[in-house]
Amino acid sequence: MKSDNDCLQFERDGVKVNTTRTQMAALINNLVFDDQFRTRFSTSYVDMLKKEGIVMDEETIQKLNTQNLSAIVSGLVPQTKNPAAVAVIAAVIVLSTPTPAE
Amino acid sequence: MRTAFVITPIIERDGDVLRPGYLDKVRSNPHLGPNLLAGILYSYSIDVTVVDLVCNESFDEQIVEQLDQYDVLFFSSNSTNWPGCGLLIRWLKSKKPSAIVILGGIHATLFAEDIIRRYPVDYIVRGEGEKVLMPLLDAIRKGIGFEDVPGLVVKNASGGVIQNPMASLLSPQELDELPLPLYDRLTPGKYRSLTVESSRGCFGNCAFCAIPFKKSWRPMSPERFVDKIELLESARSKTLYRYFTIVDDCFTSDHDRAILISKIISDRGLDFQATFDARVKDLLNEKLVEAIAPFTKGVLIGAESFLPNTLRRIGKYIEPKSIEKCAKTMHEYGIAKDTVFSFIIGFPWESKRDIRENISQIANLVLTWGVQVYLQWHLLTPGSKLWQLALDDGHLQITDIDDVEFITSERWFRASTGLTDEELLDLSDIVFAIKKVMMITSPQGIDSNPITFMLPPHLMKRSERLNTWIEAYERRARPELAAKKWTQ
Repeated sequence: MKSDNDCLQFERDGVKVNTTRTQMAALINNLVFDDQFRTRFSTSYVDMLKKEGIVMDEETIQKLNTQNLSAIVSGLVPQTKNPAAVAVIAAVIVLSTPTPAE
Repeated sequence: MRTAFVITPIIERDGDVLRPGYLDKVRSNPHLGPNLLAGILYSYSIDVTVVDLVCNESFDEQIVEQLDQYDVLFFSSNSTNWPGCGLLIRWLKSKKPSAIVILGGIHATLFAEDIIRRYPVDYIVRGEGEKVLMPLLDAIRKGIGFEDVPGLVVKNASGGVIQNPMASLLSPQELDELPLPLYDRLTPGKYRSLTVESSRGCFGNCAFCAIPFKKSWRPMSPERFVDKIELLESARSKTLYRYFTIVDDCFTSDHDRAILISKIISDRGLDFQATFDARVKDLLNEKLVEAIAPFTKGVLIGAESFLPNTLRRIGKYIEPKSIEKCAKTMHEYGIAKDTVFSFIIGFPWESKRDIRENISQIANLVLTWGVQVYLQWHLLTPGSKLWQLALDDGHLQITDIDDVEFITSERWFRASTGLTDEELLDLSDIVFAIKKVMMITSPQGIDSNPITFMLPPHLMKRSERLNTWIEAYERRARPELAAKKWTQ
């Protein structure tokens, strides 16, 4: 949906994000309907970030991967306190680039 | 005669121990019904207390000692808390057979005859309890007149079950005249918000829902509702965040009334914030949204699905495009971030392909309008039309509801949906991937979590199956993490 609202530009803790909701929608569409793309996303988002110079620690990755599981066990919405987690914002710079369906 | 209303939590197992769990593990607001009924007895100068066992650390037989001082004990059950309620009643009666046990609530209304045959309950009250309490206590005192107590279910001397006709539903005027809930003994800081009602009953007739009084909405007058809000100030000051939770099924259905309530609150200059449920159709009215926006702490909108076939089959007569329009309206009035759309996936007739399509539209709703989503798997509600079908087909039995954690059991889930474990995990993987993208791209930070979603509960309980899934997911991202096992 194109509008003034379409841009996603902000900086959080020194990490710049510059994308659009249109790109995000394309990414989500691929995650839902393209199993191969979703597998690639799941397998390589850490490496893709690393190539961008962003290294996530193990705790951050584990929180991202299991935060739903933590939620049901604790009965609370997860509250990630690890500052390093914000680095993953930059993932969108790489990932929101629409990928041709395979 | 000392009386007490016992609020029993939903319970779950923690190893060999039982504890409050599921929705009652960290509950944000007190249950209204028992506090309201206690308020009625208090207004008649009856010695009454509310024993609230929700949010306690544990749930065991020691609780009975807390109840020993009371002659008459009222329990309320809504099916999800029935396993705990049934256990507690049995513990109580085995230690103090002279205690008089009275059971009410939705579960009691639906399954009165079955319960009274199998559990040591003295009296069951079907329907709304307000008109029943005093006649019942009077009959207990005198030992006669039970036949005149509306909604009463008792066993006679020969073991037969007698059911009196239910009391007429409270009229709007009678709702206005109800006393305040007995919140004066609320433990300070235990709850985040205070529970109130402004109307009762529902216009809807949804197939997944089991509320007993469908198509019987009755409103309190706007003035009287706001009066009560003001009178509850001291109780509200005991809550952590000082907002109200309005538990109406149809708070916004009469648009003019909801607008008038907002105006009265504004005219009186009240410090008022509330969470409430609303319908998609209602929130298409911009005048209504504009009026309620300043007081909206949070609104839960039961959209349920983007799939036309599902909306038709569950009796939710809305157009998928109206969900989008509703979200747009909430965005335009600045309350999108406080808006949660509720969706249900996994109805028995839904295929994996259907659910993918649904998830795609749900994700785009979040992305486009900045609303939140509560995405839940379909779990049958006891007493609903869909539950009755599962019962008729032999997938479930009424006695399943006696079991601790029945609602999160594999048997219950299997009866609620037609998907295989592989399909469930694959669909969960899709949602988790979307959630991850949403989290890492949120200006609010990684703590931002616009989609609340959980794995199917029966898979959560199978740690071996779960570990296989987590390891597969994590190993792909970072092999060294695969060594870490998930332990419950």
